[in-house]
Amino acid sequence: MVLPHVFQKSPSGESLYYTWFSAMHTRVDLIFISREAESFYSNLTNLIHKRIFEIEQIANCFNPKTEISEVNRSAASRKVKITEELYQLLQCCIQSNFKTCGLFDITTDSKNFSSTTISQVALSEDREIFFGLPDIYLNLSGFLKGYALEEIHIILKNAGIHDALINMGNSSILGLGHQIGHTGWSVKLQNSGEEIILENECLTTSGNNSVQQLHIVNPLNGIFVTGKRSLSVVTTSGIEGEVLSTALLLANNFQRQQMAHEFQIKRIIHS
Amino acid sequence: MIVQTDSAENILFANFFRVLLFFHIFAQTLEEILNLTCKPELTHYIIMENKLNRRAFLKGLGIVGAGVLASTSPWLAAFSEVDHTMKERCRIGIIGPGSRGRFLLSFLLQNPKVDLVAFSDIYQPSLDEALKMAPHAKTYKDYRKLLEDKSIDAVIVATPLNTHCKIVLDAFQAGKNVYCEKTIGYDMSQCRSMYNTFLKSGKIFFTGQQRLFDPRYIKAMEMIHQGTFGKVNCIHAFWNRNDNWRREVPSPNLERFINWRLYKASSKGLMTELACHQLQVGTWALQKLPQKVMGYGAITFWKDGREVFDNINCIYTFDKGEMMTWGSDISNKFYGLEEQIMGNWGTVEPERGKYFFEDIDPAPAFLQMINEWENKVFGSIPFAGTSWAPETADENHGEYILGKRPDNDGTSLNVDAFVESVITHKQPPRIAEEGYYAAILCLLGHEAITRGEILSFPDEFKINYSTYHTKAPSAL
Repeated sequence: MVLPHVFQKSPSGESLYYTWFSAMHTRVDLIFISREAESFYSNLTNLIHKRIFEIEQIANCFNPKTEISEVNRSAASRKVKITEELYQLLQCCIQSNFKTCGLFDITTDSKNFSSTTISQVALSEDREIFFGLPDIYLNLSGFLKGYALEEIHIILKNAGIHDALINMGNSSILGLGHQIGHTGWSVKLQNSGEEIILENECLTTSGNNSVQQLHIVNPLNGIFVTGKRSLSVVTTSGIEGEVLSTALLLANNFQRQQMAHEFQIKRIIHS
Repeated sequence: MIVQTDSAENILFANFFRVLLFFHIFAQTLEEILNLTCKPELTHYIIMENKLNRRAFLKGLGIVGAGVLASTSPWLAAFSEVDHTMKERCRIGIIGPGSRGRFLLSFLLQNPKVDLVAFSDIYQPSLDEALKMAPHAKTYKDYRKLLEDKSIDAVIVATPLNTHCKIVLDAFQAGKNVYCEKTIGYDMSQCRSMYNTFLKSGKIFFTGQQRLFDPRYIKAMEMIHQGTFGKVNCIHAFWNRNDNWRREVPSPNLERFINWRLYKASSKGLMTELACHQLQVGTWALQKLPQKVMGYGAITFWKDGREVFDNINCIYTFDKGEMMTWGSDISNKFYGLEEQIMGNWGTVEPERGKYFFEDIDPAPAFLQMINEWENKVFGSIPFAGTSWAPETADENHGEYILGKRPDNDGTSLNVDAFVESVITHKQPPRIAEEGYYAAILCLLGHEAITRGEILSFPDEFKINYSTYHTKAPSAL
């Protein structure tokens, strides 16, 4: 399969490849700069495309055929054996809940949710999961794009691509290496117009697009974030970016200080 | 999809864009053109500087590179020496200053390199109207008298279809450069005769295929040829109207003279008057000629004594099964005029000035970055923010090829390019051939309709131009 793309080669041999597609309920844009041929990039894109869909097959809670959906359906009534990948993902999410003082929480969509719901998600060392309460619902949507960025990073590294810009839905962006003639990748925030230079870093944004939007809830008090506002964070890890952009948006000063100890935060931008 | 540039091409296209500015700097359309193709700040920059910065203009136009442009639209080379022709003059006569002829005249009068010398028409009201626009021009009832005027460098032929061939042959015989309105010939033999005479003459030959100079089409073709929309398998072209296509006749004995488009002796109707433009767009997009054509036509609504069809559909098929359909119904205008060029990734509608992707569009910010890549000038990419949601893309409104839809359809640039070519004595690559094949295709379609047969493209009408990319320059 050849995905839509634009390919250019300069007289000096540098080549640029841009491709775009939809995945994870959003858009994905990939730009590579190297000296490779068009077919190389097409194959590379296919690898990335395939990997993203593998991740979706495991952890997309909106698709009833995925592994996470099976967990959501069954883990309250029986222990469910899960793959190593989902196990690692869930473990990371639970740890992130601790590290963010409970502000990052994958159980907020559960019926009768409270700040302690996540404590009822039991992971055993032999990769089994069990819910201590009925109607727990795990939603990894706020986490997967960052995870996908990390996985794409690995694929690119293996392929020898050092200069790339990866965009997952505008809210999760990874800049590797640099644009030609620049240090890093210069990215502008749509809301504030602020310019961010990404040097092997991720820029992750959470917030509301409009005053009508209510989709981010504080797990500690059940109150939705209101108003048109957002928070962006620059991190070296895509996963940490996803965790932090939401948690920092909800955090008070004390909680922010706590997170500053737990994570390597390079920059926070409010807009 | 490979972009290569060299200094000659850069100069060539720098001049093309410079001429765009030059010819329109005094025209009211300047700001419109620039606004359509450039960001406001860029427009301001260009106007204030009164010169063209190629990089800035390319950025505004979104043209990826001169190499691609040269391959897609090589006739733009007509403007390659515009800097050196500033003091030159082209003396022009118009044969047939009717409505179309005067439309062309309106652009010629805006071109400071043109001296409008004479008009010729057998219909006095047309001469009178033309003289209102250019009062000092001489007038002739007989075009041959105009051709005898040695001071005239070039003629514009905008007469009824059935008269083109004789006038054009006479014009070449008289040593004139020729711009002939499309369709160039009444039948395929006439077209071939005109083309061969042009080759022997060493003169300039342009046809009225204005889309070749329409910025929307140029940009769309660049994108198509780069593969941006994937493999193009199908083109649906149509031109629908809801009017009788008649002109008011002051006296019944002038009916066939004024409404020549409606009668077989002087026209082949919709095929020669409308299809010619759009069939050329199809072959431009696919970069090859069709192998077969079939079609059907009828008079289904305007049963008013006309002899040409008011309802037509044709299918042109290509070597790998690709198809181009062309249709026209002049009793319903709902779908209007368009060429829907369909690739497996997306669709272009150049007349509307938009493109649409099957799944999601490429991000404009990323496309901008690609355009900047050639020039090694990178700005920040404005796209970061809260999550892009698919619900925002449920309705596919598409993207503009060049910002807002331009009013300019390329006619003025086509005429200006002709003037430049006459001055430089250099026939631009492929321009005559595009006009020739556009004519052959519409005439072949008409023949398929009237014979009720599937016709193959006749070898006898293939010129040394069967491969769009490679043979045109050498043919000249």
